[in-house]
Amino acid sequence: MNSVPSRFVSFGGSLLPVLRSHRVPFATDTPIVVVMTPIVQQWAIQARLDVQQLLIPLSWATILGGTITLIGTSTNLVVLGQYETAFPDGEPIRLFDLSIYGVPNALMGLSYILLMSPFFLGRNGKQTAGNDDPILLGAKVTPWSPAAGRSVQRSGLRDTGGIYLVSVVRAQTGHVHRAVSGEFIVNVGDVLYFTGLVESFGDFCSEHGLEVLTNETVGLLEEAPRDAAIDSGQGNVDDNMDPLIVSVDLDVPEPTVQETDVPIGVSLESLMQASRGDRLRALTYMTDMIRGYSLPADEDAGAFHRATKMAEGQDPPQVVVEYTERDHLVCAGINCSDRQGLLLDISKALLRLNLQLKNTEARVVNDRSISIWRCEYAYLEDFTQQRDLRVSDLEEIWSVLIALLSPDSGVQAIKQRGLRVIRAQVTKNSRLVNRTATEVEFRSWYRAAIVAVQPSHHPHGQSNADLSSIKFQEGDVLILQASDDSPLLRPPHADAASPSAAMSPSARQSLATSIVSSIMGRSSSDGNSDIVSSEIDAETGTIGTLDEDRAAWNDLQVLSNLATVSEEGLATENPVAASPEFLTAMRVSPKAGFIGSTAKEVGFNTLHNLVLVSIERPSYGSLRESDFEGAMRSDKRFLQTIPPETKLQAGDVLWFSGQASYIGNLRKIPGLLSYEYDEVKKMNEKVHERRLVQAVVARTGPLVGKTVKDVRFRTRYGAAVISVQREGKRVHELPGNVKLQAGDVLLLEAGSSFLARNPHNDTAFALLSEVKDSAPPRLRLLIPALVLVVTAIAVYVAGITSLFVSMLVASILMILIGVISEQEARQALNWSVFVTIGAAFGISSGLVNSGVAPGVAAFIVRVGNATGLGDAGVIAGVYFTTVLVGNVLTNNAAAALVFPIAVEAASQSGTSPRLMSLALMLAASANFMSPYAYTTNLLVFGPGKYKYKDFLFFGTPMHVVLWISATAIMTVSPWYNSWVVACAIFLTVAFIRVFYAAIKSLYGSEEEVRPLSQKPPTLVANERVDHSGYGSC
Amino acid sequence: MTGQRRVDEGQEDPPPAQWETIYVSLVLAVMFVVLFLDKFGPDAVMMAVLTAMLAPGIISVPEALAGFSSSGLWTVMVLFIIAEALNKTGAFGWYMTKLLGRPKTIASAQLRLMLPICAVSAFLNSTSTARPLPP
Repeated sequence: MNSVPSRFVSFGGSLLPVLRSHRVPFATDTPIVVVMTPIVQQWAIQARLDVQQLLIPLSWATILGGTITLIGTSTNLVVLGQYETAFPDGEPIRLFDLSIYGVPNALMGLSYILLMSPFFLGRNGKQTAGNDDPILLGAKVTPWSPAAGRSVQRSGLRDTGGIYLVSVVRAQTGHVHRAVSGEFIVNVGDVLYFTGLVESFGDFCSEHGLEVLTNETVGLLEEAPRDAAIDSGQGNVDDNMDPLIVSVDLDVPEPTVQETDVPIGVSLESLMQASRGDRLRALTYMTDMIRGYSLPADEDAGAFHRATKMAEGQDPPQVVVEYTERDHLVCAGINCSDRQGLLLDISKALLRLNLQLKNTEARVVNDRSISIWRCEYAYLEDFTQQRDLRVSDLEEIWSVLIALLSPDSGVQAIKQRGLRVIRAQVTKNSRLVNRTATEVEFRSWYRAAIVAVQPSHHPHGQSNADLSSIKFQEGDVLILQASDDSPLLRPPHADAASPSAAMSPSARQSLATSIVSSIMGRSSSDGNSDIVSSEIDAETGTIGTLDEDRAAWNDLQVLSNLATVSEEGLATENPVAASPEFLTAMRVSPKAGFIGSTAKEVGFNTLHNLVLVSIERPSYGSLRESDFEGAMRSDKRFLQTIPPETKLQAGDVLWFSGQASYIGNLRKIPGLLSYEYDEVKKMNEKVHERRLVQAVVARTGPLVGKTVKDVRFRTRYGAAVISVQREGKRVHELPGNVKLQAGDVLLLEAGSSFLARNPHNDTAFALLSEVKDSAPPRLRLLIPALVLVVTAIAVYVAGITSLFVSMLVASILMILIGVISEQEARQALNWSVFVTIGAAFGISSGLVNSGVAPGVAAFIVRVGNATGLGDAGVIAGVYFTTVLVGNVLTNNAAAALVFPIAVEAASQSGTSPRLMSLALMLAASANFMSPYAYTTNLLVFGPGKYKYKDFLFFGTPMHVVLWISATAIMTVSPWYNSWVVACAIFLTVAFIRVFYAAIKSLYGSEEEVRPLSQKPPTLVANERVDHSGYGSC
Repeated sequence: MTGQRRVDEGQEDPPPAQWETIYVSLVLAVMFVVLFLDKFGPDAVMMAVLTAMLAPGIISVPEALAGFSSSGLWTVMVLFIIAEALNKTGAFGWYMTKLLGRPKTIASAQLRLMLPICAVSAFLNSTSTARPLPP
C-alpha cells in the first residue's frame, strides 16, 4: 500500500457506509461561532429556551464585537493596511481607536437585538418548546425476545445507538429498577423504559422482540404480575433465570379431555405427553406433506390425520419439537396459517434460541404453512459446556414458537399494530382537545395507538394518569405507534402542513429498507432473499381517503425529527442511525474542578450529541490522590454502577456514547481523562500529531480472537484503543479486555503517521479512516497561549512594534511551544481570502486611476451635502455605499473596493480620512440582511432552522438602526457623549426586557418565561417511574 | 471574460479619460453580476477583474501587486494562525459554557450570551469567508 497518509486506506474491504462522518468542514475563520453554536443549542435545550432567540444574537454579537477593536475582524485590518499605505504620515490608527466608535455602535446593535428579537425571532419555532425532555417509552419483553432471560449486558439492549434503557419494571414483583447494571436479568413480561430517538423506537422494538406499550396494551401490563404469580406458584421457577412465563397453557382446558382431540403440539401438554416416537412420527408426517408424498395408510396415524384436518381451517398453530439423537439435531415442525414474512420470523426466533439452522423445508398447503426446521445448538455465548437437550429446552422452544405464532399477541399481531413510532402535536382546532383517547375513537381515526403523552402545560400530579384517560390539550405532543395505513404517515396536502413535518415517501422507503437490512444482518446464516423481498411488499401501505387524511392532519401535526439536533441542517437522514456510535469510558481526574458535584450539576447529561450512559466507580471506594495512578493501572479492579445522583469522585468512570467526532470533544472537558489515557501518554507522538482513527479489524488478521492487551496493541501499532464497536452495537467493556472479532470497528488514538508507517496495517485492519478535526485539545497550553496573545497586544499598544510584527512573533512562539503544529499553522492560512483581498487592493487602485472612485465619491458628497448634515451626510453616504457593496461582495473585498471612494469623498468634503476609514470599518462588517452575507450568519442558519426572511426582516431594521447610530456616533463631539447615550439606551432596554420578563413570570402564563429550577415536565406515561435523567443502563 | 470585454472597449472608442471610466464601470458591473451568480469563487473573479484592469494599462503591475504585500492583509493571515492556535487549546467551549450559567428568561439568556461573546470576539479575529449570496 502506498505510504502517503490518506483519508481512506482500503484493503479490499468494502467502504462501510458506517464510516461516513457527518460534520461541517471546520471553519477556522470564525472560531467563536463554530465552537459556540453547538454549545448554545445544547444550552437552550437544557434551559428550555427557544434556540432561535439565541443563535442570531450569537452571530450578530460576534459581528458587533468584531468592530470593537482593530483585531476583532480582518476587515478592520484590510482598511488599516490601505489607510497606512495611502497616508503614511497621517495620524495612526491604533488598536483601541476603533473602540471609541465601536463600543457605542455595538451597544446600539445589542439594544436593538434585545428589544426586537421577541417580535422577529422564534415565532415559527414555538412548537419546539418542551420537545426535548427525555421521553420515556415503554416496551414489554415478549416470550420470543432475544433479551428474555438474559442480562442487560448480553441482550444488547444497552448497546444500540440512540435508544437508552432507563428503567425496568419487574413483572413478578412490580418493582421499579432504575440504574440497572449490566448483570440485571431481563425476564419475559418485564416492562422496559427507554429514552432516546423516538423515531427509531419501532425498529428497535422489532429487532429486540419487544412489544411497544400503548394505551391499547396497558391491560397486558397489568396482567403480567398475575401471570408471574401463578408461574412462581408452580414452584419450579428459578427467580431470575427462567425466561418463560408459560401463560398460554393456562388457557388450555383439561388435558384429559383434549387428549384425543388436540393434535400433538397445539398445546404444551399434547406435546409433552406424547411419546418421543409420536413426536418423531408427527415430524415425519409433516415432512411428507411438505414433500408431497401420499399419506401412508397407517393405523397408528390417527393424530396425523387430525393434522391434515387442521390444514383446512383457521385452527390454532401446531408446533412439534423433538431432538433427534442420530444426527444431534433439534427438529421443529410448524403448521400454522400462512402469512407474509412468517418463515423469516420463525428463523429469527430460532436464531435467538441459539439454534443454528441446518436445513429447512417448507410448503403452503391450503393456506397453511407447513415447515420443518432442522437446527443444531449454536455455540453458547457463555462458553458453558454444550448442554444436552432437556425436556425444559423442548418446552422453551415450543413456547417461544407458539407465542410467536399466536394470533393475539404474536409477531404478526404486533406487526399489524404497526411498528412506526412517530411524534405528533395536537393542533389548535383539533378534535382531540379536552377529550381523552377513549372518548374519541383514537384507533379508528388515526390507526395509531398512544405510546406516551408529553403535555404542553404540565399539570402537577398527573404523571400517574392512565394514557387512555388523559385529556388532550393544544400543543401536547403524542408519541404514537402508527400502523402502516395510518393517515398520519402519509404526507399532508399542500395546505395542511409544511413538507418538512411530513414523512416523505422516500424516507419511508429508506425506513423499510433499513428494517430489511437489519433483518438481513441478523439472519445471514439462512439469507433467503425471497423472504426479504416479500417483507418489502408488506411494508408498502394502503391508500386511504383524502378526507380522512385531512381530518387527521388537522387534528395532529406530525413533527419532524426534532430530537436529533443535526447541526448540519441536513434533514436527509437520521445521522445517528447512519454513523456508528461508540461507547467510551472517561475517568475523573483527581484534579478535576467538579469533584463533589453530581454529573447533572456539571452538565454531563446534556453534552452536545453525547449521552452519559452510566457512571461506574471502582468498588474499593474513594481513592487517595497518591493511589490514583496506581489504581488506574491495575486491571483487576471491579467497577460498580452507581446512581446518576451520586456526587462524583476522582477515579469514577463515566461512560459516554456518541459518534467518533463527538467522542473526540469529550477530551476538551478539563478534568475528564480518557480511560486509556496512560496508554495514550506512552505513545511517542506529539500531541498535535495525534488523531482519532476508526479502524476495522480484518477478517484474517492477527488481531482476531485476541484482546488488546494480548497483542500489546500500543507497542505494536503505535496507537491506543479508545473504544470498540461491534456490528453497529457499542461494546460496554473496557477496550483492553475486549476479545476482538473480525469486523469490529476500533476507535484509536493514533499518531498521524499511524496510517502510513505501520507495516502491520496490511493484515490487521481492513479499513482505516481518520476522524476529522480529532487532534486532542491542548488544555495545558491554554494559559501560555493566552499570555502570548495578551503580551503581543500589549507590545503593540505600547508602540514598540507594529501589530503585524508582534503577532508574527507570537504565532512563531506558539508553534515553538507546541500550541499549534507547523502543519496546522499552514492549514490555518486561507489563501482564497488572501487572493480575494489582495486583488481587491489592485482593483481599488484601478477605480482611482480610471476616475470611477472620484466620480462615485463626488456623487456621495453631493447627496451628503444636500441633506444639510455636513460631515454626517457624507459619512452616512459612505456607510450606505459600503453596506450595499458588502451585500454583494465578501466584506473584506468590499472594504478594499470602497476605501478609495471613501477617501476621495473625505478629501472632497474636507472630512478626516482617518474618521472615514473608521466609518468604513464599522460599515463593512455590518452584514445582517442575509444568512449568506457573513460566515457567522451561515453557521447559525441551519442549526437554528431559520428562514431567509428571518434575516431579512430582523436584519433590515438592524441596518437602519446601525446606519443612523453609527453616523451619529462618528460625528458627535466629544466622543464620550455617544458612550453615555449608548450605555443608557442599552441599560434601559436590558432593564425593560428583564423587568418585563420578571413581571410576566409572576403571572406564570407567559411562555417566554420557562423557569429552569423547576423539574422538567414529567412525561405522562402509563407507569410509576419517576425518570431521573439518563439512568445507568 | 476579459477578452470579451476588451473587444467591447475597442468598439466604443471614446476619448481616453472617458473610456477608462466607462470601461472600469463596465468591468465592475460584470464583476458584481458574476459574483451574484456565484459561478466562480470570489478569488477567481477578483483576479480576473484585476487582470482586466492590468491588461489595458489602467493599473501598473506594481499597483496590481501592491495589495499582496499589504501589512493589513498579512496581519490577517497571521491572525488566522493565532485564532486557530487559541482554538486548538480546546477549552474555550467548556469555559464559555460555565460563563453562560443557567438563565431563567430569554432576555437574561441573550444578555449572558451576547456580552461575553462581544467581548471575546473583539480580540479573537474573525474573518468572513461566506459568499454573500445563496449558492
